[in-house]
Amino acid sequence: MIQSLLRKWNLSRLKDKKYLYLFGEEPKDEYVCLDCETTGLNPKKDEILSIGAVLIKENRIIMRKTFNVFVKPSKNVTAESIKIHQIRPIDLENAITPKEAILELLEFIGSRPIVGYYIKFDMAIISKYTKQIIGVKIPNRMIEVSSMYFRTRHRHSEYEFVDLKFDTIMKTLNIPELGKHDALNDAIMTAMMFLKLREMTPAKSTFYEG
Amino acid sequence: MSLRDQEAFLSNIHPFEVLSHDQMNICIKNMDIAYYPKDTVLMSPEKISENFFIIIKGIVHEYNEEEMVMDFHQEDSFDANSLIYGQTKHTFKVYEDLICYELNKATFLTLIEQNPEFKDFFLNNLVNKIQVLKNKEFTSELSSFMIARVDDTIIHEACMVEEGTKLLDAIEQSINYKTSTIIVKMNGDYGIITDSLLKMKVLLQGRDLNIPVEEIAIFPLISVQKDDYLFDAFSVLIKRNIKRIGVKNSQGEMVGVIEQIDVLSHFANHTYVVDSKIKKAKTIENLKEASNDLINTIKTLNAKGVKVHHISNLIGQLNLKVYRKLYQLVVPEELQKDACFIVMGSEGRNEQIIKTDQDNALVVRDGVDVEQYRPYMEKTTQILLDFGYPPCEGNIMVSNPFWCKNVSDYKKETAKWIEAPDMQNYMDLAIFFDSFAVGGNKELLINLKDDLFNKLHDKDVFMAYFARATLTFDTPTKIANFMTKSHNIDIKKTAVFPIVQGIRSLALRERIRETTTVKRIKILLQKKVLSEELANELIEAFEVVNTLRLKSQLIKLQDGKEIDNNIDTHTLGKIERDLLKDSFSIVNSFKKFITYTFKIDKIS
Repeated sequence: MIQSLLRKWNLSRLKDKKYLYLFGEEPKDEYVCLDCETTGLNPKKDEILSIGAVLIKENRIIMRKTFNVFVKPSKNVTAESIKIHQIRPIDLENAITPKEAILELLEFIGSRPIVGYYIKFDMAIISKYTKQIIGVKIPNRMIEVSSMYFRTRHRHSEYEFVDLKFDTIMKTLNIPELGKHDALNDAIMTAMMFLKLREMTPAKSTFYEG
Repeated sequence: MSLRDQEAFLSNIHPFEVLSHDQMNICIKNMDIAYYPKDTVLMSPEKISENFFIIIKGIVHEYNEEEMVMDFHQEDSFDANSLIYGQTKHTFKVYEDLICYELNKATFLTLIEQNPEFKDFFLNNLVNKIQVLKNKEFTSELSSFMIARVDDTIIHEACMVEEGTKLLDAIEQSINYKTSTIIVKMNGDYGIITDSLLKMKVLLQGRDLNIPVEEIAIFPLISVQKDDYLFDAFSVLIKRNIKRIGVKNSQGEMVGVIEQIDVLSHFANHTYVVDSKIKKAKTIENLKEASNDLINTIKTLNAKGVKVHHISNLIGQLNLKVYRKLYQLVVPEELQKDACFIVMGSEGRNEQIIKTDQDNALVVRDGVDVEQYRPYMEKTTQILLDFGYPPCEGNIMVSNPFWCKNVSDYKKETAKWIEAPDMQNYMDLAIFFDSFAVGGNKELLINLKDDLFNKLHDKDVFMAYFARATLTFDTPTKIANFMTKSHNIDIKKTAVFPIVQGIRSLALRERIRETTTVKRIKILLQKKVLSEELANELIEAFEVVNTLRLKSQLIKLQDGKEIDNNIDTHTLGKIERDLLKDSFSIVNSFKKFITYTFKIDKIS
């Protein structure tokens, strides 16, 4: 109930009706898995450096058309943080403005649900941009792989610790390492997690909750 | 995955490394990643897949009805067969959650058309698969490549027309036949019309399509018999520089054509190239080049799934030629016939695939001065070291005076070994008994071996001690599973050596001159020393353990690691593990047989 009210309120602030498609009906059995590289972990302050995303259709990760953009850093992004993400000068040669990047991303996502690892953070930082550009937070449904994973672990008690580190999930689910960790590779690995977890009970019935 | 990562992943997968940069891009642009949970049936006779699968992670099993025939792991790909022929008799089922690339059929077929090398690999694979199935019970002197017959390759059905047929009708017929080759029959003779001929003689010259076929056909069509050696067909193609050649059956009727590309793919392993290089070598330097090519040949043959004993036979043949040529190049001609250059141990048995050491010697005719050979033998050892043959730790090399002497001196030596043996002498005798003449006068070695057989007659106690070496190392009864820490098994000590030594002991007792273990087993079977069952099991087991050993050695070779005889059981697929387990139990029962037949418990 609250959810739908929020959604309506969000919709009312949409600047351009062109982006109504984001609020459209979800296509059957299609998802977008995404990952952002950012300058830090504070959505309010930090900036996006690159975005990688892939489309999932049924049991396939569509590799023919992947999404991978580098964003031109603003003045206040130090070379240091770029080094941490191993973004090379050559990557930045093809970098585009944050606005271009976000609009292309929305185009890529459409009304599909968004899958990710700690996806709330990525969505928060993307929403910071979309609010400026099209007036609304990104409205798509979120699916959190770490929650799906959590539900597949057998715990002996309510308080038992479950390690939700990305690498731990990778190892436990036997997901292949795809070379270096960049936004696109992480998005692909996350997509593989999602496909695997979907087949595992009890996740099968409960993965709809974000 | 960035395009670069995908390209890196693919280039490591045979045969994708042969794709050009552009072709690789086409490939990558037409691939998706798919996930299939355990037990998904990927394809079956009723459900042909529209994709070529490349495994990123997971395991797939291939079944022929109920029987599992193949397992596929990381970086394996399948199934070219069903994409090329649009049908399959087998079922492919996910055994462990599968994450894989899917390359769509159309792209796969395009790549095959565009890249002959890529195509060769798959066609070759098919040919080989069929051959392996055919040859399962069949073992031969020569490699399966060398003994392939014309009808072992793909004979393309051709469109046959009689003389007088209108060209237009013939072309229509050939389209129905789905072939581009038209064979014309005229007074018991055959001619051929190819696409390029139609271009040249009809299109360019603007000829009428109503002319009779014999007006443009080329006579005669060069042809071979169905049961000719493929090798001969190959030489005809190369010599005459033609693309296809007719195939006749035993009644002399034309049954189809074989294409150069199919034949080439059969011989794409360079063995013949190496062979002719050795033949043509005029200098030590030429010979070194040829010898270095051997290692690549091994890799190719292994990658094509050729059985190990075929590989070792073939490599052995080539190695032998290297030695023979070396002897001819180094030793002055007048000295060559008065001595015999021999290789011993695993080389003498023709079982050393990857050069791990060299055991060689020279036998000089009685009454001929050994000293005049010494400098040449020094040189021989130096050259072999330079070729990359590692030195023998026990210094069993012709440069060592102990392994370069007259016939009668060797006879004294063997007498001493047998009368007052110590452990070293048993090993020397074992190595010496496996000797094989590679250059000079063979008779000298035959004489020595006869002498050895005679000396050993009725020496039961000595033979029991000799055979006891078979039991030196333990053979596990089960294979360490994934839960254990130690997963390296020394395959030589646990399996290869016991089979070799046990069979060697039997061969020595039975006066068998053959040196390869497999041949010795076959003769022992003929002589009823071994039962049919045990003989077949030993040959199988020997094949399995040597295959595993070669595989792991090739990997170490590629990684630049030191070559040893360890295999890592954690890297084995399920089928391999089962085969290894079976082989160990065969080795263990063979050890019991040796103990019993040589009455070893009486001496210990």
